[in-house]
Amino acid sequence: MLRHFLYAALMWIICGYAAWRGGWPERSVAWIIVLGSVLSAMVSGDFTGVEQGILIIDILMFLGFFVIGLFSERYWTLWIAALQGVSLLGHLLPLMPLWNPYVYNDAIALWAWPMLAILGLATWKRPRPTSAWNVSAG
Amino acid sequence: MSDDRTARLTESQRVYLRLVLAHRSSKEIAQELDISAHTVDKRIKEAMRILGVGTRFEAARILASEEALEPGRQLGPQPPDLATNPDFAAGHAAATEGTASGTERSDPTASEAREHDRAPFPLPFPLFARSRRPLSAWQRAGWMIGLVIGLAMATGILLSGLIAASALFNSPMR
Repeated sequence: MLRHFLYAALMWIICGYAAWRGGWPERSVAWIIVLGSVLSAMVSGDFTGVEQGILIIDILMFLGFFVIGLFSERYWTLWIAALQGVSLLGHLLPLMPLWNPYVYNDAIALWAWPMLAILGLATWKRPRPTSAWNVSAG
Repeated sequence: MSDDRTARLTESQRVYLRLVLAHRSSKEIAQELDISAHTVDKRIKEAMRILGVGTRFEAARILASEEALEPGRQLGPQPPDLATNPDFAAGHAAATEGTASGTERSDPTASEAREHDRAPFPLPFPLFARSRRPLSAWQRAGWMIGLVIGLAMATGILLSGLIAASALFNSPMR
């Protein structure tokens, strides 16, 4: 339970920071993470089979990150999309002969932590236009 | 001596050779003039054949020395002074050609290949960020898919390693 509160606190802080200080990739990723996390928490069940609600949300999140990764010129967006993709692959776990709900839950939730870390770092280290000659923001 | 030969160069070949003297690569010339690097290579090779030299820098130097003698040329686009200094230009040519010896110099294709700067491999992180050009959409898509597969495999290997280790430590054989 503590883990959920910690995640929620970190998510709001980092995504708020990204939405406040970031360019369009940081803001879009922050929104997707907030929406995805909140909706996933709302639809999550007991993980005794494939969580279809979370699966759909994860697919939509991956598509969102993929599009951002395609159009942004930053490198971190590629890694966010990749981490979400791995999280998405976690939904294959219940199809395996040996699995348990805890591992399945962790396998899809685990990747949100490095995603938050990347988003925080990316917003912090974002190249900002310092003069008229350096306008490579975003 | 090579007066008649330089006279046979076309205007576009002269433009390319002037840029070669300014240490531009084929790719940079191509970008600057909005044509393909292949065309640039082809024209420069023709120019090298006309001038009868083995490397593009020699061709560029011959043209530069010819043009330096023509008074009308003085006001035209000139390469930087540094590059027209024969010692420097020779040193640079030698450096660019790496270990080029006398025999290798006579082989135009080999020196072409060396002078042709290769594009750096498009990595998914900013190595020497300022000098890299951004990844294309295809490269970005490819890296995203590739990283998914790579990260998933790495996680799988790590987990199976951990499972094997825990089985090892929990086994009664210990």
